[in-house]
Amino acid sequence: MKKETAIRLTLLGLAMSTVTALAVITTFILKEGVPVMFRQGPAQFLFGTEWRPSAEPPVFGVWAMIVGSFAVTAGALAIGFPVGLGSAIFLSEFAPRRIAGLLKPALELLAGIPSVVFGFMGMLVLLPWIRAHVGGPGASVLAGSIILGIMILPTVISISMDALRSVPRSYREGSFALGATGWQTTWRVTLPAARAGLVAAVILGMGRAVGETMAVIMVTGNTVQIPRSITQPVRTLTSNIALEMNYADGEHREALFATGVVLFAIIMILNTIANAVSRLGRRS
Amino acid sequence: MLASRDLQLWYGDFHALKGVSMTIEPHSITAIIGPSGCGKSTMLRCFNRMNDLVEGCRVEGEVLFEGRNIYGRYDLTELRKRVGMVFQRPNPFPLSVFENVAYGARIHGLAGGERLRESVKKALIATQLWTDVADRLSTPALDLSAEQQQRLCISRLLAVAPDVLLMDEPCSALDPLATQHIEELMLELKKDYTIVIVTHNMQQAARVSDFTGFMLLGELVEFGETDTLFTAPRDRRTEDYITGRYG
Ligand SMILES: Nc1ncnc2c1ncn2[C@@H]1O[C@H](COP(=O)(O)OP(=O)(O)OP(=O)(O)O)[C@@H](O)[C@H]1O
Ligand SMILES: [Mg+2]
Repeated sequence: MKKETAIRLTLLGLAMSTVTALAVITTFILKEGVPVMFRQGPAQFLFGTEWRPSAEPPVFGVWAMIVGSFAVTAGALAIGFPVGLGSAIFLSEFAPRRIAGLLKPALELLAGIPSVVFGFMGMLVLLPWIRAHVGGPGASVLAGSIILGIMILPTVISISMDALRSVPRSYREGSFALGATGWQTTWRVTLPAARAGLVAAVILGMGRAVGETMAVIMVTGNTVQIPRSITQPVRTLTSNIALEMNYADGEHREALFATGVVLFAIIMILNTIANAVSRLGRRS
Repeated sequence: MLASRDLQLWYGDFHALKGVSMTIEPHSITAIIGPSGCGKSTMLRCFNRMNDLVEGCRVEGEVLFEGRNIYGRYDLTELRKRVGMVFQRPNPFPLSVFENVAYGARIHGLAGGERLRESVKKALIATQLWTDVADRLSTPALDLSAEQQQRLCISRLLAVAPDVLLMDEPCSALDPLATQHIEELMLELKKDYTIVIVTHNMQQAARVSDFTGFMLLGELVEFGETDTLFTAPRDRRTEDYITGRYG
């Protein structure tokens, strides 16, 4: 009895430590970041396009970075989602078990490659290629989108596969029994039935892309500007923090925390949407 | 209409059908009975080659449909359009009532617009579901009752104008009243279609079928007119089964 209670309390403590860590981090970021937002004016901070930490007085506006993050993320999804969904469909609906068995570990390996390696590959191979064949300086929205598009593949594929696999076999049988081909069955029955899970795949892929830092710094050029074409360089929210934290102090440092607050809010919104969608999917 | 000739089937190493030969007469109801695991569903699924979906499944022998071997060179889409299947658990698609019935027409490019609406209506009338759902064709099919769902699945088949209906324990998920309704429907459909039904329920086989086959451990023990098979079985094992001495 005593022992039971002790174990229960220990486990409770461990579980609480996660929540505590989250609470501490959140409070810290908010406490450090929010005041400077109000000193600048929240609208000025969010929608201002100038970021001049060393001006007198300094100006902090993160709009260009918000746009940068979304541009790179949208590009990553435009590349990663079709490829990822296609692979998931192939693996769960069409591939013989042997081939699926080969591709699965490859996917896990892809997920395990460190971000900096992706960035390095991007710098060495992708940037020169873009410079030569597409134009611009190389480091660009396009480069970030391609690298991130590859990096979110494991997330998109594994969540899409879960969604497809959870579609009851009986739906597929019903369709095949009416003379439908594999593709007709997938397109008209399986995909619609897996819709909620696929939306979750998109959103979690987005979360992954928004949060990625190292590889993005290495291939996007990091210029604070609202890009007018995909070959122009941009800076994302995450890059902004990582690039300047080494030498920032005082208000500048706070402004980086405020960038973190914005990032935090975006990720939280995405997670809430993902949860709501998957709950909706489970109900129907 | 349909006939199997010395049909053998293996799931991997497991010999599930051991030389089954049976002939299905047009415009009749043929029942396949036998204890659980004897291969009834497997046999039924050979008639529209649904076993092709099972990995490691191997078939020898022939199944003739209008004299042509469907295990030879045969267009599967065409086969399944003409030999339709109703499953044990009603399995409407998670689409609207209308889209469920329209599904076959859409995938086969049979009809569109007004003609499609007409064919959906006809298929729903044929299963006596029309009066129930006429004013809610756009509701999700999964909101219907179990019996209505099974009727919907039958309508979905009829909409592609098959010749043969294969039914694998179509009533086992239904209550007795709904079962009776579906049985009445089968007798009605017999005029226009050839029906093969798998059932656990011997009374059901006796009530609706013209011919009955009794299977045991992958073999077709006895096949004949239903009345004869139930009143004067030739094989000792059939007699044991129908008098309730087997599982
Ligand atoms: N996909 C499969 N893989 C391996 N063995 C299978 C498979 N499907 C069926 N079997 C085996 O084949 C035999 C016949 O199965 P089948 O489903 O045809 O029996 P059944 O007569 O329809 O039984 P029930 O009355 O329980 O539905 C069983 O022993 C079953 O275990
Ligand atoms: Mg069965």
